[in-house]
Amino acid sequence: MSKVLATRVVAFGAVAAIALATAAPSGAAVAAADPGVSSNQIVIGTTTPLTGPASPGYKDVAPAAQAYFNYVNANGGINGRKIKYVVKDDQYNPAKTKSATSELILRDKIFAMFGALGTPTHSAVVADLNRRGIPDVFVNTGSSTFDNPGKYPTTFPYFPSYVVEAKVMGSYLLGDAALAAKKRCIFYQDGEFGDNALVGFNAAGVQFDTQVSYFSGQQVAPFTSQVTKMKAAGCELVVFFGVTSATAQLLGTSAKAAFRPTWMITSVGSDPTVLAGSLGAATGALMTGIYAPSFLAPIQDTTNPYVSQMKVIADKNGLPWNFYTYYGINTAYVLAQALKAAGPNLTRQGLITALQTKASGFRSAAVVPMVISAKSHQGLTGYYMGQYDGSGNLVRKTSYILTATSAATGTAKQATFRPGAPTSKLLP
Amino acid sequence: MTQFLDYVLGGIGSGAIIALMALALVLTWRATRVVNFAQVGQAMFTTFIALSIQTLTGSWFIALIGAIVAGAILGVIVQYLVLRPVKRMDTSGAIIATFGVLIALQAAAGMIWGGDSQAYPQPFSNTAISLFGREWPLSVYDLVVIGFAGVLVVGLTLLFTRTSLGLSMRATAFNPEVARLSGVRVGRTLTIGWALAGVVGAVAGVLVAPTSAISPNSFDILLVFAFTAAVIGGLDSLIGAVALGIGTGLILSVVSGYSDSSNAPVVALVLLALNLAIKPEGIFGHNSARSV
Amino acid sequence: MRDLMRLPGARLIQHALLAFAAWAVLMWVNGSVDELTNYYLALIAMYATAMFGMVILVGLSGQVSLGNGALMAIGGYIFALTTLNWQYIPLTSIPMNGVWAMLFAAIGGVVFGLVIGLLGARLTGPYLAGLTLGIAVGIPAIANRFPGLFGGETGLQLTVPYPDGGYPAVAEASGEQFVTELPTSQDALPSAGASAGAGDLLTSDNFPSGDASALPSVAPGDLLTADNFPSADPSAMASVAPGDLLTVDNFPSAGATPEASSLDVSVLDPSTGTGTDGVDLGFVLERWEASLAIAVACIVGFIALNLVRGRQGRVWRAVRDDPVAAAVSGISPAGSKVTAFMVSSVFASLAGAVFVQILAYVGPGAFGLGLSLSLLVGIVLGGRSSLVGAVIGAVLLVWLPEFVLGLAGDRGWDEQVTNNAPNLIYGLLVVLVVLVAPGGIVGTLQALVGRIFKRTARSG
Repeated sequence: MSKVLATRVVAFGAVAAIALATAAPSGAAVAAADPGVSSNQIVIGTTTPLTGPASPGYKDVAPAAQAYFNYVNANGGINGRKIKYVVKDDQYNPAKTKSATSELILRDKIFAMFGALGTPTHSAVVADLNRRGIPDVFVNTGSSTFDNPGKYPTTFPYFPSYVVEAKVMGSYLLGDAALAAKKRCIFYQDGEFGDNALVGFNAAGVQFDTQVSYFSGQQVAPFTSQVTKMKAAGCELVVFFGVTSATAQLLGTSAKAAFRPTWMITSVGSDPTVLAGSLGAATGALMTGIYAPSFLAPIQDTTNPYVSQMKVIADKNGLPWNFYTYYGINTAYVLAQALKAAGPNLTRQGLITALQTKASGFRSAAVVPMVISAKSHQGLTGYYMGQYDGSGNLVRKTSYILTATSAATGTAKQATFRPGAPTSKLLP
Repeated sequence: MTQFLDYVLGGIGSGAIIALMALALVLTWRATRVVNFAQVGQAMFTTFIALSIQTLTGSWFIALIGAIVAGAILGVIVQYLVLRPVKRMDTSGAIIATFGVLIALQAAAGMIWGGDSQAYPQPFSNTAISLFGREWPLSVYDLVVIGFAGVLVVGLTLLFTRTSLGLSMRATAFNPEVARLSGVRVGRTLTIGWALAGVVGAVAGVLVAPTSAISPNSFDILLVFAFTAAVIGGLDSLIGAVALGIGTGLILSVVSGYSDSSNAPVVALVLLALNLAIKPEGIFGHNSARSV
Repeated sequence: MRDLMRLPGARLIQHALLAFAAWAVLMWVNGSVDELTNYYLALIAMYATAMFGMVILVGLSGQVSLGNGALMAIGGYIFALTTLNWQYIPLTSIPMNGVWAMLFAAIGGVVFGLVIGLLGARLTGPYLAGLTLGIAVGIPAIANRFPGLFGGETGLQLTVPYPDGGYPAVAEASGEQFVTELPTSQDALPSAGASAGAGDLLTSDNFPSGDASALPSVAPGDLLTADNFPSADPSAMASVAPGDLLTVDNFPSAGATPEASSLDVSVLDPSTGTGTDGVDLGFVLERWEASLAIAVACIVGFIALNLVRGRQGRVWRAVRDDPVAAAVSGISPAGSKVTAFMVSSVFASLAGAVFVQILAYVGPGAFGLGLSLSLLVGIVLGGRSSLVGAVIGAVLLVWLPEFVLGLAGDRGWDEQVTNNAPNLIYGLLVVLVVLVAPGGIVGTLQALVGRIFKRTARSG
């Protein structure tokens, strides 16, 4: 008898506790023009993997943006408003992204989302952000699905899609007689990442002799069988479409197998600083001669006023100077200009209008034009092709840039672009 | 055919690592009837310690010794603090307790050494061996790894079959109460089992690190494959863990070689299910695993 | 009164009343809290649904499972695929809706539960853990393997069938996506009044020091001038003739005609649940999610109550405690284990179907090994063999991460410490609870309360 009674007492206590816990009163917010903006503050949020398997490299992006915002705040903010940047760790898990985003919207009352990272993660929240009319600025993914103003009117991707990148690589490859003559193979990451690449190469008219893939997360078997396969097929040029941690394994395994093709590697898979961390002393030797596209001015080129100034911000905040830091500061700089351009009477619609009408004038370390309109929200439009030298520096191979669309057809076209000088002291 | 040979040889290197980790799981299972989910976390942690020692001293060998010592200590700590206090912990409780340790170790490593992948220096040549007029997908380093695995298996087998410590460990694993009555210091024996498992895991970590770099989560996938190998092998069997570990490496290599690599985990799952359906106690296991 | 309780069906009515009362209370709570709490409530109810199955499988039937997250994925994918691909139920003219999709998810749960149960019934302890671990890893891998159907790693987005008065549907894609004319250069910066030329560079010397919130100490006179602008001008910028400059003609077309009204003006203000035009739509997304999750949880809870406190519950317990004795008295131990797997699989599938509606998304990343392990964490911490334990476990799964995040907070620690602190505390807390309360919170409280009652009974 007493046991049943005990169970009931516990049960009652539990229900009461839940009811009390969940019925806690919510702070009633005074309805302003738009949430997240006051006379002296703008609240923006992001979700990104700070811990977990996907965090190496990516974890540096948000702190870099934070460092830039701190710098702007120290100089008086934007139109008198300081930026409050709320960073949530989602460990690259879409379910956690959803919870984190709900908290950003409902508890932190963000004005805008900025730099949310990852395709699967952002897929879980993009519709909700748009439904609520929250600007979703500079999503950190190359998936072309998010550039769709009809469906996602508030979402603005920043870097060119993987399809564009594959078209650029394909066009460059066909345009260079020596490269075009080589026996071509492609090694890609399974899933949308690799699929997008295949779409782009197909559109560019590039066929491959051998196609090999890897399963993301595969770390125990270091690509031995894939490298064996490519070597047996006699591949002379290997295009690699994967993430940086996989690049490290690929280069290491290939060196071990004495497999030395000409490599052409996607920009997201070829950060030399992160590669150096994984490859150690052999980095320089392994990276020499690798072709890689890029849309930012080469990271080691400190004669470039963007690079030198962004490096100052990184150094002063004790951040590692790698592509992720560089990229984080750069996008934060562009966002700050967009917020400034939206005017002192900041609204969500104002920010979106500013992005759609004034983006081509925004300064950034990108050496390709940024063109956003009401019909296309894709920020950057192309790449230049570079090649790594013996000290792990990307050297620009093309004076021109290559631009393309994310459509399943059409090739990349050559164009020229002269970026303007940075704003005074990199302030918006 | 030569390509098949290449895939098989290429799989042995990674298989040896899976085998060592499976061996560590078997050791803790034999000692305390607990599957230690934190094993890969302990190995990751000790490998980071080894990397710090390596950076400090420049010696691969001293770093390996450091990892072995740290592995033993960490194994004892986990057993002493987490598993000893609860006498009769069921499978779920033990899994969750060791899972908690895994999360804590990964977070601690992230705090101390940061979340980035770090290179682990390569002590031996890791380029393909040329022999009989062709290159083989095996390096001197692969042979070292396989050699370590072999020495550990032989050494542990001798320990269990030829020494009184091994005898008392087997007795304790079989029936702690009876072992206690026959004068075995059960508590000490269990702790030694955990220390041994920690050592094997630490060696596996140091051996795998040069080929895959090290980060707090870099051994996660190893847990899944090692656990699978240990279970199919029959959790009580050292030989089973090693054979199935190498077998898992081979299967992963051959499957990703001949078909799409995304088939590898699916094939692994199907084989696991088939195996357990046909032989529930594992290939090398005793009949005790199935109850009814 | 006592006689009345013995009537056949009386227990059924009692359980139905209990479930209805729980539903009524929770719906009242749901109606009176803010949106974020609605969202948490939805998650708690969803986890509780899955965890009722864990109680039956782990607690009553005594089998360990690391794979219930994958069973949730099965329900989730079935819900998503049927709602996305079927207008009508095949071979019929019945229009598809969310309820049918949930039913299909439940059927899928039965089938998978049967298969896994048959495989697992002969296995014990770690061998079963191994099988279910394989399932937890393998089933999301299948979604990756067949991206055409399952959407691959990216997953599938759902259009949740909102009831009338819900959020306005997002307009379809407008087709044309690209601007053909690209600018070839950027214009000079608009002259910024006093600042002379383009030369103001940020260097480590003029970087603002100290407190980020303080205004910069750099006086205007300290600014760099055109003279110390780096002489090595990037070649990409210098090499272009003035003729390449942006003009009105080659300026991107969007600049001239602001077609900015692509945004729906009646976007919702999330803080009030009303449109910005002030019309109360009377619909809060999170409240709807919670209503759905609570309804499913109460129905599943009702079924679970009947099973646990009925004959089947006694069968499960008998097999768990002494399979040989159970077999002797005519119970099939294997059959009872398979039944437990099927029931927990159906519950997990339903929870998964609710989960994808909360997320409006399904993908392998949301249903990985981490989810399966979380379910086990929840049930072990809450209490293995009681449905109340399942509910407490569900609350813990939602509340604990928030709690540790608050504990770790922003304490001015080094970044890599701050990032990892929540995980460290979480891991240690899990270990601590298992050590202090091996029977879970409910088991420990029961023991405590029981001891107190025994003492009062003795002294009284």
